[in-house]
Amino acid sequence: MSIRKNAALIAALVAATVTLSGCGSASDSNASGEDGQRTVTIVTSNDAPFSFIDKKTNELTGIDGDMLQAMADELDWKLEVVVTDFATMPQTVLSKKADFIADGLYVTDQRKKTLAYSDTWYYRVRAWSSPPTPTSRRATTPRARPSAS
Amino acid sequence: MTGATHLEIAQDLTDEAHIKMYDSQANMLQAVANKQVDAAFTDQAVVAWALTQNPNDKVKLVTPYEPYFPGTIAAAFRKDEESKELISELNGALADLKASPKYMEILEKYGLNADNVAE
Repeated sequence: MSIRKNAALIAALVAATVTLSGCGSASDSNASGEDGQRTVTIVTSNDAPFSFIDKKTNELTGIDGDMLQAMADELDWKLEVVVTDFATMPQTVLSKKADFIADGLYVTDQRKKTLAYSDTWYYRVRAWSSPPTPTSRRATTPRARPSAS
Repeated sequence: MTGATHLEIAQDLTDEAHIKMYDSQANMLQAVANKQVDAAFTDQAVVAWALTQNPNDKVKLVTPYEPYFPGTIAAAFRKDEESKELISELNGALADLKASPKYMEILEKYGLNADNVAE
């Protein structure tokens, strides 16, 4: 609520990744603008409640989104937002279409092979959900219906 | 969810033929609601948030549940010189945020609490 509007550029959201591939690297826009603000591009999978676009305000919000807005305010960063599938986010950063991932991303050894992490933002607790069925057996033996996917 | 670490937990419990992957949290929860799957692995915060946004959702959080190890959340950058500078700047602002009341305000706004605080 008290987050100042640091103008996550929703134009970038609309553009999505396919269009953005022709827009040059994120680092191109890192030069200081006319007002001295540094433009920093983040990538998210538009993933509530972590990092998503509030449909009412068109601002980046969520746990990560709000934290990022607060940090960007202090650093005088202008945020641009790229949205893609969760699994595509590392490649979006590696190909310089965004500067970093801000989307409730776990730190894992596998990801550390290719990505550099900031300090820890917070901790998440893993859980799982099921339909409200009367049996609790499913809670101990999760089984999806057979599928090729 | 495709690309997420929860897959490892599911793999511990069942075989690949019984695991389906979705490309977003929203699609995954919808699959639970539509009974395309029996259960989904994600984070407590995801389900809690979904239920606040849509109280009629045909999804519930299993309670009580045994939380798996807490996941560490951070921003992920390239391993290059330019990113080092950005990481350094962000870490400075992050330390300031954690020292301010706003940090807990944000966590609580999304139903999280002291268990989620990183020092």
